[in-house]
Amino acid sequence: MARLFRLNLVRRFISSYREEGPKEAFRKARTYTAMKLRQVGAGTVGLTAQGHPRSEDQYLHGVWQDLARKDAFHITTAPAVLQKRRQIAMIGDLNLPQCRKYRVEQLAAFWQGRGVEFEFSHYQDVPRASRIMQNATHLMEYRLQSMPVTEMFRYEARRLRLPVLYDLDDPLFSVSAYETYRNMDSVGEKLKAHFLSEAPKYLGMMNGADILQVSTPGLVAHTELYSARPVYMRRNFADQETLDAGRHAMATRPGDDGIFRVAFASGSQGHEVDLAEIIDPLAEFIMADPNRRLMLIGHFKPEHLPDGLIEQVETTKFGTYPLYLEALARANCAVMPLCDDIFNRCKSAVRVLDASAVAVPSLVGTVGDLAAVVKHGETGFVSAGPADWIEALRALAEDPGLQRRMGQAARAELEAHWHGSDGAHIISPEILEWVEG
Amino acid sequence: MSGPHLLLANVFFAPFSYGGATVVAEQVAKALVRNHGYRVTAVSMCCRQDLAPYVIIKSEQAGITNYLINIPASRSYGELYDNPSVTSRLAELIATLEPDLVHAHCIQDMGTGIVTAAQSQGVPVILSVHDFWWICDRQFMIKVDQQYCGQFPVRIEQCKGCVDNFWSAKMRFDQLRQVAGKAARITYPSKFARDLCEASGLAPGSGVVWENGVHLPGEGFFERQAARRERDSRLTFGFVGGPSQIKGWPLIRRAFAELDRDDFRVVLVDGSLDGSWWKDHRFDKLPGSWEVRPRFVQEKMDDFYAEIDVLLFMSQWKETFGLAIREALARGISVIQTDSGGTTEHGAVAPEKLIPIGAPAGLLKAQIEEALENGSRLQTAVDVASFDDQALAFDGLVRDTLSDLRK
Repeated sequence: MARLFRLNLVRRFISSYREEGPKEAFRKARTYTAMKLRQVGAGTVGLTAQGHPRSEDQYLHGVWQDLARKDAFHITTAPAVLQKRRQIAMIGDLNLPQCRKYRVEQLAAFWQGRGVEFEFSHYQDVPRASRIMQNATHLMEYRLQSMPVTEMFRYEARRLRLPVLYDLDDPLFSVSAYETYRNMDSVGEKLKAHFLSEAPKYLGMMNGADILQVSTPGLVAHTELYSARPVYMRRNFADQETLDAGRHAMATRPGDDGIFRVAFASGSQGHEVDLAEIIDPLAEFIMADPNRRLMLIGHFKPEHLPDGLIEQVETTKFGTYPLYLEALARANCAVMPLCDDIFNRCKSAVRVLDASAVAVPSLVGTVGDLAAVVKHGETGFVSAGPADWIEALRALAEDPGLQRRMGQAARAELEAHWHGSDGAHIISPEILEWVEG
Repeated sequence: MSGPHLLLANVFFAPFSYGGATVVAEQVAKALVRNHGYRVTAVSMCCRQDLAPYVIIKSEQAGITNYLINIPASRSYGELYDNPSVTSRLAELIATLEPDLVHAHCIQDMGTGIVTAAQSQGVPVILSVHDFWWICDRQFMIKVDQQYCGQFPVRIEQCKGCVDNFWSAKMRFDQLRQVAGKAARITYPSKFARDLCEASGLAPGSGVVWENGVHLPGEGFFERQAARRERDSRLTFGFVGGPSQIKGWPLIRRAFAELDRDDFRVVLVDGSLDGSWWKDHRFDKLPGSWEVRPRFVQEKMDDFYAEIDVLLFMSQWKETFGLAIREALARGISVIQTDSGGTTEHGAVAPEKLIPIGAPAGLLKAQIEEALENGSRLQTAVDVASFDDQALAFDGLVRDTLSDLRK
């Protein structure tokens, strides 16, 4: 407190009182005292804009207004034209862990591996999302729907002259896909109606982008029915985290206990209908031998299982990705049936990538992109009908050597062909050109 | 654009301009782009409650991009000269933009991190010293009691009675000297500033005088000036600034109060952003005709200077340059000024006419009376460096720096 009342400060006050009047002298004394008590330094830059935005979707409105008034709003040259280095800002809905891994974090590693800076933000972290655009040359949006806050980001991107790519891995924009998606039967009419009402919001966002990027050839074809924007493909792939976690999971695999396990993983609700595609031959296969088990990993309602099968079922809850792979590594093979509808025809092969990461052969059908990642008879089996599924299961159960060879081949194929390369089977050349050109 | 890409760091920059150093930074940047093919990107500060702390907002005015770093209103003493949050943004910008050179022009509140961030990425830095921020805790060498400090050289041990916390001030003093040593070049706007800073230990021997330019009179200025003089025979004095002791207002007021004539005008320019400096001041008891005008932008300065015949520059401290004096001299306007450091190096005012700092009002009154007697209207314009000249000189510094780098 003594510091506040040094002699020269008293002189200063008297001088100010005499020269500038009591009002100004006391104002300065108040300011000085407050600063000292708060231990705040005397900087040059004072508060230039007070007040807070009324809502998060108005976060940028104040500074936009000030820049506009001062004729400083528009960025006249796209940063991609001026800068040699490329920097991608990705704003997305990062709430779903699997989506975040395959469409965001994986992409970050991919582009950073090519010397392109990549920063991402959840769309609800408004300050961060706004900030990462300022240094960017390109904006990528993932799984965003049109709403005031995302429209604000888009507006800012256009102000900054950022080209915009919209990325999606499910046909969330498609009424026809949702209406025929059989998994929807399990979620109820109310939720289904909600998804249908959201679809135009996704499409609205997509149509405001410059190009669209989706995860499978099936989704490319379906997107082209809805949008005139150029649609390109970027498949999900096995990133370093997948390969490392898979290696670690294999190392922790317990010794052979004589049980043959068939895994079915379900990352969300409603996939009982997919397993139903093969449940009869599968149940017949499992129950034919007491040393066989069906491993259900993740969401599954057991009432959908045939009578008696529950006795030979092992269940594992979804945990972290490494825990999921550890569970999967205990299986002898993994089955990934999909019922045939528009939604599933757009599905990616991430479950095959996961199984291959732990050297487990995949048994897939012909719906979706899964068959593209399986070499029939080498890394797994592609089954066209119920008879094929049971034949494949029997072949693996009867020949542990075949099962091991197929698993190792699947892992080798993953490392050789399905990692984050710039091959056209992973990413369309047009996307590379869009960023790097 | 084929010239170098410059990242220009200045505490303020268009569209949020404030202060003489900002004027220089903006005008030289424009001249470098216009005359020498440079690409200039600016980074400056703002302080807004509606944005999160330390976010960046990109703006552009007159073709120059300006990245604004939003700093919080409350900043600690240490953050005023070394703020890691600001430095990280600057490092990010340098990495993104890959400039050929960083010009740290006037970086108070931004901090010295820009020098270290540039150095760590192999980007050379030209450092420009304005005011005395680099050697004085209080920036202007004005003590708490509003008296000029007068140290030459500055010895931090002598600051014990002035600074709030001596050891904090010493750490600052030592760090700033250390950081300054990392710059490829250090420029000063005057010989006085260079000699004082170097004598005080700021990278001795590496400084060069890089004189500021000014906005030269526009087309038709002298005709407007002549027309006004024809229209109104009264001599008009001008004063730019606020009613503070340090800018000499009490001295000016006393000098005019003692005059026993009324045949003159005085035009005051309120330098504040919000027009508050002169708001409650009344001039009823002073002789002559008085008026206050709002601050002007560069392009409008002729409007003010066409109205005056004598500029009063009564600064009670040693300044490093004094833009207003050069602007006036370039327009054939007389100057009555104090002996205030780098402001006198134009040589247009005879040394015996320079009023010592702290002198009584009588000396100023005498010069005002002399001006009134003589008319002081026929002075010819003094040859003063323009911003184009200043940019040309800077281009030479940049090329030398980049050439040294390639060796």
